[in-house]
Amino acid sequence: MRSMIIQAKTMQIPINILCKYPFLNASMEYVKQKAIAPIDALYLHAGILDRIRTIFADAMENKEETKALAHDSDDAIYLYPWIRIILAFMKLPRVTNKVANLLSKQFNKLLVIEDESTLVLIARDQGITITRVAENQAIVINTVSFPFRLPVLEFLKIEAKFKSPAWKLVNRLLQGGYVFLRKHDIARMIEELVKNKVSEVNPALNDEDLKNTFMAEPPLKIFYDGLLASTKEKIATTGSVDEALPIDDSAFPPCINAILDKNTKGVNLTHSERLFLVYFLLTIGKTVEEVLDLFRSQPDYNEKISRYQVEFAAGKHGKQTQYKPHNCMTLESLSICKKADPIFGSKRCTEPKTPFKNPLTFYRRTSWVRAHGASQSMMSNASKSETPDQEKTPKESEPE
Amino acid sequence: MNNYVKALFQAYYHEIPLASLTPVDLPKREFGFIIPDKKGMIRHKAFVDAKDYKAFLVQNVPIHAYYSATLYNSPWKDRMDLKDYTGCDLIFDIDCDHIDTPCKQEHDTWTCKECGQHGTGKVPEKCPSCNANSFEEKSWLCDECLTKAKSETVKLIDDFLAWDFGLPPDSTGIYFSGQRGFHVHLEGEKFRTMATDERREFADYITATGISLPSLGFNSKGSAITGFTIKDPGWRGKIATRLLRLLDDLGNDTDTSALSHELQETLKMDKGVLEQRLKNKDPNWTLKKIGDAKWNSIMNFIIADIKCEIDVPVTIDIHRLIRAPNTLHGKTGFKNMKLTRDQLTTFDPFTDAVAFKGNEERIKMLGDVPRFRIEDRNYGPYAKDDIETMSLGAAVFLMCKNLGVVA
Repeated sequence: MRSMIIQAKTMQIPINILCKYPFLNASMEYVKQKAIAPIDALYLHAGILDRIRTIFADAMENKEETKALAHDSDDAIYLYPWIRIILAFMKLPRVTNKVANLLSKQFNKLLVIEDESTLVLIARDQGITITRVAENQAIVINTVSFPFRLPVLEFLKIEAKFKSPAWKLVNRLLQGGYVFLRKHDIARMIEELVKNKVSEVNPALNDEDLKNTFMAEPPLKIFYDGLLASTKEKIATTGSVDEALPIDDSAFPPCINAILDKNTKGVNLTHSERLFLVYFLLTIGKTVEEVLDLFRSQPDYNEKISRYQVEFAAGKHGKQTQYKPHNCMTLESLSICKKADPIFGSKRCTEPKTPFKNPLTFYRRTSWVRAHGASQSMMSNASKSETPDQEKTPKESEPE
Repeated sequence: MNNYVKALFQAYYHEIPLASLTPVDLPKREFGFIIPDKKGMIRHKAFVDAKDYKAFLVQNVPIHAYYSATLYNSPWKDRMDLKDYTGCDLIFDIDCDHIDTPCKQEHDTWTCKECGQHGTGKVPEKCPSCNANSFEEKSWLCDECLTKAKSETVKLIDDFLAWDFGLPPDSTGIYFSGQRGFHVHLEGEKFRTMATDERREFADYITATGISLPSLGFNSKGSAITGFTIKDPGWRGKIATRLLRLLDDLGNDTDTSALSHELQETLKMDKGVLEQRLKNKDPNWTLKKIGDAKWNSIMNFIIADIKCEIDVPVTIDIHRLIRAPNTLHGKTGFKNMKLTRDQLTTFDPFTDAVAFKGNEERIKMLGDVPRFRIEDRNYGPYAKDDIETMSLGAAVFLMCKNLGVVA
């Protein structure tokens, strides 16, 4: 088995690499060539189910490493598609995200220590057409080598999904149409692709026939029911930050407060400001009528046009897409971000350890802290009612 | 638009060769027109054939003609979600309106619609007298405005698109807009498939939005500063190169007044040392008199000077209508025209874009007219009711601005 080589399109990838990185297209090619029915693969590679159980348990504990992905045999190649099939059966987005996170982080750890030629093979299999820069053209910045280069438009397709400033094109080494990259940049890009791939709902995996066949096999059904129960139990015990909270207007981020202030004063909002405000308010649960009420103070308010536009944003017309508010980087480009504004700005937007990537996160975190902080504060005040000098002043208990 | 100008516009559209009027992929684009006596913009027009498009222009004589940077399978549908988007050209818009030039103080005016307060230069956010936010604006065009817009366009094409993005100038479509600026079009399939996020990142690179010195590798440990070298790719190299030029500028008459006097003096003291290090590609920027805070101020000055003043929403928007090639601008009578990079260098909009040349006309002024130039003759300033004989291009220019009529 070790000497076997799979030719995927024009690339030849050894079998040990296919086992090590089962997300590769060439690995999928290997599975197809073997022509083993998916259910049969579970019986032929008996260790897969145990490994899946361990992976789900590790994921639910937010681990970033798992021993169950060991690539000592071609079990690993069948393991990966089965993890995705089980996730498709479960349809639990939070579990899918946790498993995606675990797998992608685990693969990253392997990729950063991979030799450069293998890394190029893996990246190219994933559609990242990196090339090794010739020795005499290598970029070295302060002793750090940037041995790879990627066409800028391809870089943007991957980079636009990253939210950290270090990944922004403006902070990258760009010249002649290529972005120069380090080895662990490539590993990080592949990590992101794997994470997206595992997270996405793949209709091919969401196969009712396969699910019925799977569930018709008693041992497999027992395995699945057990896995589902333990996973759900884990969800229940870890609690959720997404639980429904009443809408808290005082938890709005600076950008929204600044727009609302302009609106209250009857200042004409720009098109981008209006869109962002509508997407934001609808997403946090305001009704179409509540949003329209706000716009009625606009000098150029037109009931018919505004109603159509707000309802469109709420997914009641057209393709019925419910739009999400822009993220912080987009808002910065559109000059809507007010994180440093002397009136509306908030240092919470720029806290280096937990920078917000989307104003929704600011809102959700703030309103959650307020709701929970308030109840905890009430409890703590009750228990300390005899020592009023230890109580916090209302001002101090504000999140800011 | 008066009948005199309308007849000239109609003749122009009648005479213009079909090929120069026809955008690439015409049948997949939506067209929009402002037509005299018709309310609002006529939108959702589409043409399967260039001849139909030309016939429409001749028959309707629009003041302004626009086409979509976007390609659709059904561009004629009146709802965006039904048009069936297939891709969008990547567009850059450089407009005098977005560039601060001192000449605006001389030729641009605003009047508050509430209290009548009057001022010059950039329109304020609120009226200083009554706090209202609705103004009547009058902007004007001058050599200084368009020269600045042209130099920004050259910067975009040479320093960013060619040097950084590897796009040869002959692969970009460069257009004079017909009034206040320039458009640069990138039309290949690889640009058309770009998502909004990717377009934003592209624009952010050019405008230095989100630039982070620590992320670029600018590092200070104690008093030791590690900067960039002139051979570095990306913004690192741009900053180092501009710093080297700034040091050179400090020794000659170049205007560096945007940098504080104190910083200029401090830099002058260490000029020799730093210049030598930059020329030797040494990233050691440690200087006794310049600490973190001062470096930040210098960097801010340099970055502001390097970045390009594009109108970002135009680049990001994938449903934007832009002025159609080789059509006439109803506010100037100038042609929107395509230029090569070489032509851009010597391009003089007040001569080369003038669509109507030849006979002279006697023009009576309908209001105060600031100074202006058409071809090699300067005109004005004029007061209301003044009468002047001027070239046809100058006459059309004033009539398009509703500031003159044939006397």
